Amino acid sequence: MHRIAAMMAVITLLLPAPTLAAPAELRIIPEAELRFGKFAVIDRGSRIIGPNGSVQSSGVFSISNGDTSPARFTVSYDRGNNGKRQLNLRIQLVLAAAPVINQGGLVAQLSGYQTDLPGAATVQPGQIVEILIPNCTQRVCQTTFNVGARLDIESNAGGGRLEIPIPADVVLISVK
Amino acid sequence: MADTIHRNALFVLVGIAALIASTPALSQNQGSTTFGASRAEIISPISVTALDDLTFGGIAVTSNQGGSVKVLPGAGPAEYSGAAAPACTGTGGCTTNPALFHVRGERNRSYVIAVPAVIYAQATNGTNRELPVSDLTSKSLNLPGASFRGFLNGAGQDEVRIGGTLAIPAGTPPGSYRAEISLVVSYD
Repeated sequence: MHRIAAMMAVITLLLPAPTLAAPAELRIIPEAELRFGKFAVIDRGSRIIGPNGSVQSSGVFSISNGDTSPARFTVSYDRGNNGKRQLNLRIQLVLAAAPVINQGGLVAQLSGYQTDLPGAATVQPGQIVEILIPNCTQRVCQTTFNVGARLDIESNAGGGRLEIPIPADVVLISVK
Repeated sequence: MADTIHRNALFVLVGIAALIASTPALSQNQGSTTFGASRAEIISPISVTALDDLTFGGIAVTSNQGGSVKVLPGAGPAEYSGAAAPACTGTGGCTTNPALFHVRGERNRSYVIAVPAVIYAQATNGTNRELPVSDLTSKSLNLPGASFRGFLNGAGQDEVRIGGTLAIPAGTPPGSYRAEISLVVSYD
């Protein structure tokens, strides 16, 4: 019995840190807003901001330049310890449908997500996009991606500042 | 026999330890939700509506000498020069007034006003005679000190008056003359 107890103690000591460290954590962090800029709409119009910052407008009149940019998110995985074992992370990303905004004579709808993630140039709301973070050997590994979208505006009267949320979910699928 | 038992126990313990050590992350269901933001600023389009014409009234000139009439965009009587003089008989009388436009748009925004350098009033009786109207000037109700600029108040409104100078060459036949003023307003 003494030998077994001793062996268990040795085994316990040999166990790597994870069992004693913080739990692993996956997070998605909004780094930058999707900026559609300032423009006038006579009746209805739309503007598309690409993940690379490209701008396409239809039925809108630009008021200023240089005030558009894609959204940027960071997906971060903290393994919770300082282990060096190489991890390959599979993560699922879902960009949910944004709510339709009805504000002071303006109706705004966000649609047609675009990303610079491999294989996910266009993303429908609710569509699952897989993000891979390979060869993770640090405590925290992360990847950053841009999101563009299309904004449709219907103007019945007046103007205003609009803010539309972009719901984003990530789920860790596997760690190998 | 005791050693065998101990080795088996050790083997089982090592197996469990290896299992625990190799799968720390897989034992957890991990996810995260956030809300990014998208923003846009929609500007109310600027628009202009004509409310009143630029009117020079009835004018008389002599057959051998022309003249001109200047209507100011603000208050003040019309200025007659040369042989031009008000003719208060006839259909239009001799009342003069600047053109009046109503401008609507984004609240508390300034804007610029553009008008042609010269417009030509056509005789309404169908003849080809035309009279030049030049020196068009503007006056904003909310920004009276600035020429060709205006300001939309807290309700997004302004009024602009346009004055000008009508030249009447000698020998101009009697009649009514009418011109359209193209007024362009845009945010600055």
